[in-house]
Amino acid sequence: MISFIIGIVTVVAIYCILVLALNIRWGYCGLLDFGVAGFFLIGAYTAAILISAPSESYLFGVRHTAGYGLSWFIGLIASAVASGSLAFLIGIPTLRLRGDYLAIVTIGMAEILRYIVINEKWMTRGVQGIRDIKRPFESFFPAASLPSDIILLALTLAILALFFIIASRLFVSPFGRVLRAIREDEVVTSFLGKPVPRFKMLTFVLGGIYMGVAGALFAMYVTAIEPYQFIPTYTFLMWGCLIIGGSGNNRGAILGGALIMGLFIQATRFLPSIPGQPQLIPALRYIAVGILLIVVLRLRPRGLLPEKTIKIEEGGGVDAKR
Amino acid sequence: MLNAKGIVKNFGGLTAINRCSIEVEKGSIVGLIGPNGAGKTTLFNVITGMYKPDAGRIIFKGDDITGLSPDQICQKGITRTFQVSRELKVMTLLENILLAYKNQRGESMLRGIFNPVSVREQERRNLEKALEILNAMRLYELRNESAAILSGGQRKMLEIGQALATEPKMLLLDEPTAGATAAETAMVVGVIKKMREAQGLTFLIVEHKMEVIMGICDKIIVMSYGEKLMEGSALEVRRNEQVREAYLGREA
Amino acid sequence: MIYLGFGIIAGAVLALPSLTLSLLCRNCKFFNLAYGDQMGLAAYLVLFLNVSLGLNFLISVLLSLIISAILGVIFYWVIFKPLRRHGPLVLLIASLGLAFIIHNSELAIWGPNPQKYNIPFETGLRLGPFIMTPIQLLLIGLSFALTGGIFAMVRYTGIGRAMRATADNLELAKIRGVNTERTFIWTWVICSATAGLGGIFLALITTLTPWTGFITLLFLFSALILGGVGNLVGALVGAMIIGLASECAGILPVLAPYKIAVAFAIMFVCLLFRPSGILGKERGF
Repeated sequence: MISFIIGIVTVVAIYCILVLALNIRWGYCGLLDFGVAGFFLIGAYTAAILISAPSESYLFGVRHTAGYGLSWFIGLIASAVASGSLAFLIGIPTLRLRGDYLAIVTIGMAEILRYIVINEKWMTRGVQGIRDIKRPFESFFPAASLPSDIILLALTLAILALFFIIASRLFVSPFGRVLRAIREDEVVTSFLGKPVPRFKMLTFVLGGIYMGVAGALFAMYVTAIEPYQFIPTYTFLMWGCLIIGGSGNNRGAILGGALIMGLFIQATRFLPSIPGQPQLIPALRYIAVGILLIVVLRLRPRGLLPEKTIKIEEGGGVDAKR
Repeated sequence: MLNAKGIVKNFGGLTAINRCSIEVEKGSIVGLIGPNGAGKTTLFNVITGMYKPDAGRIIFKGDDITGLSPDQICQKGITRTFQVSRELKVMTLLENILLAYKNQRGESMLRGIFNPVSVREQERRNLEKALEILNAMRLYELRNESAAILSGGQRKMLEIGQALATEPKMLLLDEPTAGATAAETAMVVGVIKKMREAQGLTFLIVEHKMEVIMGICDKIIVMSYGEKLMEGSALEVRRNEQVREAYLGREA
Repeated sequence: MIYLGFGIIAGAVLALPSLTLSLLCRNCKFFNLAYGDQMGLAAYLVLFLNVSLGLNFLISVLLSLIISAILGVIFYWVIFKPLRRHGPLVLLIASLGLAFIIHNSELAIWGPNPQKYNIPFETGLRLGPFIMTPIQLLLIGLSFALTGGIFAMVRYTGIGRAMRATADNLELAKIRGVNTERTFIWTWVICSATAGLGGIFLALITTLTPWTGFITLLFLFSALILGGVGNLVGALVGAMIIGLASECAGILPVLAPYKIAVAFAIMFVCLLFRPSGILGKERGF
């Protein structure tokens, strides 16, 4: 039972990191990222390839690139670098154009990455996916055990907390101020002397790093990843969490993530399956999220926890009030 | 200080600016007038980097700034305001001003995260300066209010304050008294004069209110249909036949 | 050479939806991400009417188009019109939500397996180097005819003028007495119906799954951006190029599963060097 709860909290926390990252891109800077699943995927697969144990089954011809058996820490760093680099590459042509273009490019990027993963079997084992991804300290605490779950949960929560603190400090900093200005009116911000593309790129890459790390954590959590876990549906769910929870607001992001993903994963436990139509109930969950998103957009566009305005006191203390 | 030579700007088949040359001396206040559609705002846009001119050069303090991006031009020392105020409504007035300061160490992402003493010190100093500006603009009481609540004239004041915070060498003001009450107009005029006296700021101002233009400008440039019609002192402009014609049907 | 034939068919199938998507985006000023799924939905409706209810194929198509048009107007009234004041980015997010809802509804009702219609099997005809079935030829012909029809409508009819006016300058159009609301509704009617037709064509040529709509959307946007957003002729040119390029990529076995990647790579390169597209204006919409 405890193991089950720990598992749920861990995976929800991982998705919360994704929502947080999305908030940094959209909520702070107004960047429309519809390719969250793609950055998540790159992080997960990079970590999986580096961390999982070397295995003969990976040997095709001379090359075997899957399974290096490296440590979880290296996996995390590599995922961060991979995802951040992807963000950089995607950003070069798109960040200087209107926001819609970034949206379209990221959608396509995420799907193409998924296709590459499915087709380049020599690297990723295609639809079978990569298995036996090692948890941290696997040699002391085997994967199926409670201590292993606890360690991963602790690691995930620690990273979530760290990322949250970084994001919050950025929000109230002069850097964050420029981002918020860009979000509202890019042109004016530019005329005030701020190099807008540079700020956008930094934001986009930071979001990428967060998402890559989340992907690595995810790979370690499930210990077996496959392409279907990265379909565009998950990108959309992250947006649902963010909009419903309150975009522009880190606490809202986490609230939305916890609420939607928590309820989401739980919902199928309590709703019975309709015989003959096994896919009906799960799909209904997604439909519900979609409808909820549109309803929130219409009635309360700021989400459940609206964005804070920053009031500054004379002593130099900054107070973020609602 | 500013020398725009032979500027040509076309949009599709339309010629918005047709070989226009203007010169603004350092420390002077120059007015730019003309009927709607004369190309005044377009000229501002070209000078400040929003558009690249199809022909012509723009020289500022000896440097060729033609084709630079708006943020680069702001860094060089030219700041402009907009015909319709574009204040940032999601932020408070204070934040709007604080945003404008240049060379903020806290704008680097890493320093933003770690928030070292140097950043806090600079923020504190900028805060003091910002409060002074807000005070001068009679907006001090509203400093922590969202910029969305301001009246038309107040928005202009905020925008001018924001422009001043960039510590420019030259200010291009696009209709700074549009929508302002008589008192606010007087305040704007006062601020402009004071900035010229105290800091030697140079001004190029687009205005429709003749009392303002005639009152403070050393020189007035008249544009019509994308060309410079004439330039001269207030008196010369008022007497000029062509200027009267260009303003046919409008108050001259 | 066969690939060239596939390419032409692909281009022809993409042409009409590209054109009307371009029209929709230009008139309504945002990228409608639900468009692909509107196409797919119409195809599924035909499936329902033809296979489940046993109606004649052509009648099913007609009914499906009518329903698609009505749905389009409903989407406009319920989702896009009230959100218009928030700007194009919010509309984009909402359209994604809609796409999501449609996609999962299809998944819930029909399941993930590929579907086919109840029409008699036809053998292909050889036309020089190409092989096409009569239905495919019919579709190409219809596609071109409708494309010409849309162009004529935009250029010469009153509603076409109204569309151009509202797209160029909404306020000015209102002042000049154009019934902008009616224009928007007509836009959605026409674009949703043609989307439906495009979806049905597609389902006749390839298999139909809940993902068909979304994938087609990616091709459509590649075509739009390549041709120049907001430019109707550009949409057609883009569609043909994307269709030809992605099918011809099948020549190289290593690229065969990556047709969509080829389309996207073209779009990406286009954004790098000429974001306004081949025929586009400097500032998109």
